[in-house]
Amino acid sequence: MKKQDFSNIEKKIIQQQPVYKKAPREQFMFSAKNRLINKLILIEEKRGERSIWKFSSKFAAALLIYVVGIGLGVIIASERTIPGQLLYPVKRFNESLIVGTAIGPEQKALVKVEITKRRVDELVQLVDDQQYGEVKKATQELKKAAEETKNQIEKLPEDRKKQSKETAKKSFREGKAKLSKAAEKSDDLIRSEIEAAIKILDDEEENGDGEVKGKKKHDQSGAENKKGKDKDEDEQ
Amino acid sequence: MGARMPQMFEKGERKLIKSAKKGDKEAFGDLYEMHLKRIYRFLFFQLKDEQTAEDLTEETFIKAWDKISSFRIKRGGTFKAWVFKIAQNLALDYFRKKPTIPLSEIPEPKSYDNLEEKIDLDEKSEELIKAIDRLPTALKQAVILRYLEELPYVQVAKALGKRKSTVRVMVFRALKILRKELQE
Repeated sequence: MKKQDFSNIEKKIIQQQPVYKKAPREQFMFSAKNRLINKLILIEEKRGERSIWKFSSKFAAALLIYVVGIGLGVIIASERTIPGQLLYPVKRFNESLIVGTAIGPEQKALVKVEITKRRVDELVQLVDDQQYGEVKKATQELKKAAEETKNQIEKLPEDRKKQSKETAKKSFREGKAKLSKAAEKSDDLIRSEIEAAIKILDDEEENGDGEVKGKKKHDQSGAENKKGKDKDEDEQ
Repeated sequence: MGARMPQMFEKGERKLIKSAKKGDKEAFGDLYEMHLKRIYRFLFFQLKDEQTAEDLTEETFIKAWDKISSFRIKRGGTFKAWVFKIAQNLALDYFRKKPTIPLSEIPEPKSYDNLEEKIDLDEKSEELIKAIDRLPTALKQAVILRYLEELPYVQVAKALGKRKSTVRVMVFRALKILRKELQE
């Protein structure tokens, strides 16, 4: 295919440069730079505060949504974590916030019951996932949570205590059932840890009633002893 | 063709661009003075009206100032191509908004009578200029930038927002049309 030669027409076009290179009018050229700068300043002044406000409010809104979104996302993601996972500390921190913001001792007691339930679920999950390294620590955390639940319930006035105790007992029973199932699947070493956890819940369940009973017994036996003593004194 | 900018000039422009990017209007004003004439004539050749060409020249640089923070300094005088691109877009917008004028009513470039240098516009030159003027806008702009502004293909491509190979094809087509028109 023959290469087309446009050199002639190219030359002719280039020859039009003097015609093409028409200068602007003198009045336009006069102070062109200053005129432009003044226009730029005027435009910026007009846009000025309004744009800063728009920018800052839009930016602030976007940043807030971003931070809240990230925060919520992290919180939501942390809810299902178990000991040893990256976001687990976030979950524990959230729990402390919830406890801190609970209104009144009764609500706090309910929150503590829920937290104990969570410790049980975490322990069960650790066993299911065979994360045996965390089981012992999780058992200790469960013990701590169960004790705190009991202590919180004890702070309640007598008329409110019963209801909370019932709730806690029910939760502990469910927890024990879950742990028992987990124990069936485990080897001896882990089973002993789970059984220790079940015992914790047992003790706390009993102590909830047992202390009262024990106190009564003690009071009763104390009263009986005193009677006996008095009788002995009388006989003497 | 495609004269290279003297190095000193290029360095001077770079410094001005850097200052302008930091908000120095004075520096930007100097850039305006450096490129004002070529943008004006590029627009005037297409618009055929001095006032409109002056207005759009100013508007080109107002837009350039707005976008200066996004301009990236590279070697090879691309600021010129970048500003041409803004001017080219403004010209296109102007033609889109303006109602179509029949060919017979396209005004003569009357300001050519006021040239400081007396240049005889012979018949053939007049014919060629009219032929360039009749080219489709994109081809016309390619011809102006390549032959009248003497930009290398790479800068023409940047100014038109096209690939270098596309610009070569555009120029080829334009030359073909012009040659045919002049032969006729």
